[in-house]
Amino acid sequence: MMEPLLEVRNLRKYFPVRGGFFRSLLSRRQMWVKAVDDVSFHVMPGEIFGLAGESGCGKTTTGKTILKLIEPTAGEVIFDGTEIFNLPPQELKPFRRRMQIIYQDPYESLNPRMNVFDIISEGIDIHELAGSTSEKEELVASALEMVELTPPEEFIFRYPHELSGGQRQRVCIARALVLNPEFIVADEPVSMLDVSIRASILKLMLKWKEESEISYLFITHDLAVARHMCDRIGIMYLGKIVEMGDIDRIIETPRHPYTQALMAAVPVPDPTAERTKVMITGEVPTPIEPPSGCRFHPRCPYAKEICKRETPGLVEVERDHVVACHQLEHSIHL
Amino acid sequence: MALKRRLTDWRNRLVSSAFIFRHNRAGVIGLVIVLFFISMAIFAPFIAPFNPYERIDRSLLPPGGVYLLGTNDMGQDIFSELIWGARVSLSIGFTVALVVMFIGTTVGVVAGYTGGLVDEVLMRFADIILVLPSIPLMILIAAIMGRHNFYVMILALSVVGWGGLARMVRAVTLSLKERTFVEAARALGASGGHIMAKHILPNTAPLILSSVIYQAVGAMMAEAGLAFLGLGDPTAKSWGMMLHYAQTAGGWWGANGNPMWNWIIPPGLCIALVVLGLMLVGQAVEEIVNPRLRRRR
Ligand SMILES: Nc1ncnc2c1ncn2[C@@H]1O[C@H](COP(=O)(O)OP(=O)(O)OP(=O)(O)O)[C@@H](O)[C@H]1O
Ligand code: SF4
Ligand SMILES: [Mg+2]
Repeated sequence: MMEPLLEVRNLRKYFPVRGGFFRSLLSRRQMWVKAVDDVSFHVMPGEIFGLAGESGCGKTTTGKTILKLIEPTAGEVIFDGTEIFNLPPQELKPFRRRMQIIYQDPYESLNPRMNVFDIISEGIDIHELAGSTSEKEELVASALEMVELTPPEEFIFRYPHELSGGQRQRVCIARALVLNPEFIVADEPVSMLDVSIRASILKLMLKWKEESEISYLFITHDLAVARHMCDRIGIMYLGKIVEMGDIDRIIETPRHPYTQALMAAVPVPDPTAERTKVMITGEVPTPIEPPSGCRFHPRCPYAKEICKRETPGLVEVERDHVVACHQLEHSIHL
Repeated sequence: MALKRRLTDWRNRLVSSAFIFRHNRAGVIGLVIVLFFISMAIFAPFIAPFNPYERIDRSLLPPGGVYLLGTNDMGQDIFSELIWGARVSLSIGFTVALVVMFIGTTVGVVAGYTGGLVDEVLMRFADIILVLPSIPLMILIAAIMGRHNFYVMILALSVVGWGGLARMVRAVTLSLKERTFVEAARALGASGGHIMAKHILPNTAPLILSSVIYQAVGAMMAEAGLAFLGLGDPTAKSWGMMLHYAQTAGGWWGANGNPMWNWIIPPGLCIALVVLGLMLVGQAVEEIVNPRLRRRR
């Protein structure tokens, strides 16, 4: 049995709420945004693990906390056998090379005062990956070729404002790839790009997965994209994973009412296919003071008394498919 | 090849900045004024007809003839004093501006990026500097340091000047720190020092540039004020010092009840012109670095 490349155990990230002045007069109790609340999953080598859910459910926070770009509240992250949260900075540094991130917004994630060459070579310098200037130039050029910004000489002296959104995102990806990472957090990497260039970037990511065995944590709110990209997926709702497992099983036979509702919002390839129609109403509650018990109960059509009292745990319903719901009977006969 | 591309790149940026500058008429006028006084300071030995520290004729001669602006109470040539005064006044202004820029930027970036206790301590210092009235503080420093001299003057002016810049740079650093590209640098494994030097500092540079010009203005005015009050370096004649001597020697009311305009107007005018020139340049620079200020015309 293969060891997972990345294992996340009971990850929590609570942000303190800076209440207004009047609220602080009324109550002394510190309030917390429970952005990530007891999340566990693993990513195998060469696997793409998806994380999906509505806006604000904690996907980005999960990804950034795993990389310790946000200080975790609790939990462990084990990468290739080493727990990284408790490492001193010097020992964390080699893991920074091995674990990279691609951001959602290519307009914000590049320093406007650095040109493409400096942006991509920064990591090479930090980790001393090149012995000479010419070796560095070669590494930069090959990273640009990987993301199909060719010929590299065309691009290395450009500044971010001289590039299109798609080109910027390719530069961001090249900046990560030049370090030869084993794991990349891809936070909605194409959601802000033109539809016409999305496919080509996603195709490249799949290619590197095959060729270089790069694993991804692929964050998305688009289940169609998730199905195209991912091997396994976790569905998040208000800081918790409510359903997780093999992507095809979850897309074809979702068991959690929330996942079913998400599916109902996705266009079906085969319109004659039978599917459970679960419609959810109401807004996503805030993760400040989330609902008691099952966090989905105020919006769930199957909610019963127990759902308000007890938080359901993840239960295995078939191989590589876990669900957190008290009323699994409702979804057995599809 | 790489270097050449980089140089042309810089040249392009310079050219486009120059273009914007050229179209700001007030900025061009300011620059002409400032360059005029800078050349006056540099070429003082060649422009000034006499040694300003040497007694060359009878005292208090009226303007005209060999002595363009007449002589002072010591029999020194006022015109030569004025030319050499540019040297003292400008070098004090620019030196103070550089020292203030160095201290203010370092303190601001370190405090803002590091946060916590370091931030707390550095900002308390900045606040103390900011709330203490600057003129008495400068007088105090000058007194503690003993003799009034040129370097004590620079030190005193720098000490009172860095607080505001540090606060401003800190505020900008705080917002830059939250930008995604800074987080991306952390993800690459960059250290705090690297991030401050490569990502924060270059992005505060435009702000610093215009503020340094205003710092120079402030320093020159403060120097003139202190010198006028008799707290300057008596051996280095700045324009403020000239006004001081004119005042103590009675030039303001004159021998026969008429103020000696030839002695008091020129240094006053020089100070006013340099300040005006620098302010105009400062505004033009601000427009270049902050496109939102650019006026449509
Ligand atoms: N620095 C922060 N301080 C306080 N609250 C935060 C902070 N960052 C995120 N949050 C809160 O945590 C919750 C989860 O945010 P997160 O950005 O992880 O969601 P997301 O799933 O990535 O959403 P989206 O799809 O919009 O990107 C949100 O309610 C958000 O307001
Ligand atoms: S536990 Fe209850 S409220 Fe939650 S999803 Fe299941 S049925 Fe709905
Ligand atoms: Mg997000």
